[in-house]
Amino acid sequence: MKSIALYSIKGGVGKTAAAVNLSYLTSLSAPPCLICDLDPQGASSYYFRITASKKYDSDKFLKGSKKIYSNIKATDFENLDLLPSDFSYRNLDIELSEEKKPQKKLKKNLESLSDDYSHVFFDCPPNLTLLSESVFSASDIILVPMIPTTLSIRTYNQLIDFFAANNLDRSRIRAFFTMVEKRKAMHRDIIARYGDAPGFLRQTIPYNSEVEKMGVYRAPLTAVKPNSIAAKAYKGLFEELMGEKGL
Amino acid sequence: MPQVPYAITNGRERMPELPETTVIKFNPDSVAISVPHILENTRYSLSFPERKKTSRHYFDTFDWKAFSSGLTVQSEGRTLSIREISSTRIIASDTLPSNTLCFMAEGFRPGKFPTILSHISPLRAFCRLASFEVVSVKWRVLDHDEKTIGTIIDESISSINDANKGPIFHIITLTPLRGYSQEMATVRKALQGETVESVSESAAGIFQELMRHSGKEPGDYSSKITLKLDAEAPVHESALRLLRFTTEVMRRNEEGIRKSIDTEFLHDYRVSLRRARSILAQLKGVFDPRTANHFRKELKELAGRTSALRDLDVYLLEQHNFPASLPPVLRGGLMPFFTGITSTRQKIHRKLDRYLGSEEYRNLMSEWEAFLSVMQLPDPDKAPAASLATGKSARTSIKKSWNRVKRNGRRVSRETTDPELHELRIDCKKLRYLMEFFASLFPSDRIGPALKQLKQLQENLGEFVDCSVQLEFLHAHLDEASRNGCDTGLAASLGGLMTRLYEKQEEARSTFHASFRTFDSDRTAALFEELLTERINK
Repeated sequence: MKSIALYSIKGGVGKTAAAVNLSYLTSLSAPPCLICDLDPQGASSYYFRITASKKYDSDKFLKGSKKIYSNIKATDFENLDLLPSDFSYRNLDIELSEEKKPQKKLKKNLESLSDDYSHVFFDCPPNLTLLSESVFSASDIILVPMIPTTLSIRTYNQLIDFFAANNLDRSRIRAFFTMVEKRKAMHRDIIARYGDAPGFLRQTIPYNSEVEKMGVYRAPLTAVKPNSIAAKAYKGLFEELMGEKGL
Repeated sequence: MPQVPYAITNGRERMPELPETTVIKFNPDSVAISVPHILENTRYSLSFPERKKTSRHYFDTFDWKAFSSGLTVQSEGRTLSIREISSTRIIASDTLPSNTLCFMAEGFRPGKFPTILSHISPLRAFCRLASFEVVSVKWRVLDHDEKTIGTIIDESISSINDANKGPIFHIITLTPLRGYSQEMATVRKALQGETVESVSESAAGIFQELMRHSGKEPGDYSSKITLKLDAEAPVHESALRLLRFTTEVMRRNEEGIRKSIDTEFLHDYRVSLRRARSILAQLKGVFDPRTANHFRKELKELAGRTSALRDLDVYLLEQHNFPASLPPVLRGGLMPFFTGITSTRQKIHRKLDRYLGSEEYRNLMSEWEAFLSVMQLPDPDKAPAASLATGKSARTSIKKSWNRVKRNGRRVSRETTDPELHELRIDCKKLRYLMEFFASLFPSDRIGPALKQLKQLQENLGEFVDCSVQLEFLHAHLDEASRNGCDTGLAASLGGLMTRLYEKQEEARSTFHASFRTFDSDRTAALFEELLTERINK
């Protein structure tokens, strides 16, 4: 099972949109796929119209295996399942810190799923915490969506520094630009400067009202509007991503 | 049911099975029920219905391997699918080669579908067993967020031949999506509560009923001896029962041999024939020797008529393994070799087909079956052992046969000559057959381990003899080819193959003594002693 984390320290950069679309595309070409919603806001669960069972919470998530199994739900798309998040996930960090080896927890908990899914996508909450560290060690690729602004570059560098300081493998980080508006000079400049930089994927995702409408469709854009500009961009991103070493 | 390893597990904790599918069966004559109407009283709604009318065909091997693995193989239109029988969920699908009544894994492009097929049965063909006309309506069940929680399929299934007769079945199948069993249970209760004359049934039960409706009984064929013998009954009676059983197996395989559906028909036929001959030969004094000898001779001749075809089948089955055992430069010659074998096989098959349809064969079989139908004990002067109790006779004959294997095995020289090993292999086979005939008289935890010891020895001897038979065959083939001006490529390939076979044969020869020592151990002796001295099962 290959694991890909959609991660960013900043919020509102299109993590969930990418996680939803990329996991859907994976379910078509490399089934079966699981999307693991780790964000207490539960946006990816919302996009798939899934709510966690009343009995499900962060406690169960940390218990692993059986508790996780029985809370996985099928989406409306074949070969694509989802582990919904629960509002209690906001406490995951505190609970993780009480565990032995919290950094390894996620990896260990999901190990038993490796026979059932070819790929798992983590939709992560925007912060840099113990949970993030746990995600880093559980992921083959850490995919970082970035709006092409100087501030985003700064946070990206913070992440790189964090990896260096904690002896983590930086080579697993891949960044790509989202919500790109060609008419903005700053977007154009930053893409020109970083588009070819190592660790950056070439494909960018344009700013597009269709992406925002996913909240209305409540389904992956790549499924309902596969010919839209943004859906095609996700397709391009997916193909580039699958060509990465280790996936 | 044994499960086919279509998902490879490494012994770790597994995701729980998908939620169980429910099938609600209605009396086909009862008033039509309206699923949308019933759902009005629940919290759930339905998607737009998908209506379909298709022909559905079910396939399985002659020995029901898909069914016994908990699977069904079925086609609708050109789509062929392997489904889990209990949930009707699709595990793999592919395109049906057009108008196919029978297929095997090798007829498909590599993929999950043929892989599972060959897991189910590597050697047998999957043949069309039954066909139905299916009129169906499918809905997705939606919750308040319009999230699908499962599907409902309302189906009317009619026989394809007389669809005017009305449906055989009216069933509603509810399949929850993963994680939505509880929600779908509400829907199920609503459906069941609203309808009289409905019965919940397993999807497997429905499949069995459909098969029975087409005159098929799932799991009704196995070449293994499944008879339960009575230890107290005269051995003559038990022997006749066994012979009738093996004859029945032969009879059931005739059609498959004649139509050349797969190679297992002939194989099972030959095994049963050998078993019959073995009973006649080994149960001394149970039949009038004149009659027994007459049939032994006839059956031997019959077996002889089938062996050439089997030899060629063995080659053709190995066809894909041979190239890898040769260096690439020698592989070219294999092509004409196998083309030759294939065309020879056709000729030989036609000959056997004609024979099985001949009056001569008909007469032989009816004479044989007439003999088997006479239950009366033969004249005690001619068949003094006929009235012995089956249990006693079983122990004596197994003991005798086991002793012979030990004696002859210990006599095998250091050189382990071909005739020695050939003969011992036959002794082992005889013992094996006797143990299998009488297996039902012994506790299975006793006969099982003893048989296992024997099987290990047989494997070694089997390898040796197979190699030597193949070597002989290739030698003959080469001889004949050289008379007809054989090309050097073919000769070189055959030479290469013979070298490999010779190496394998010598390897089997060199491990014989070790493998016989394992068999001829205190442990085996204890197993047999315990088996044979113990009071027989009643």
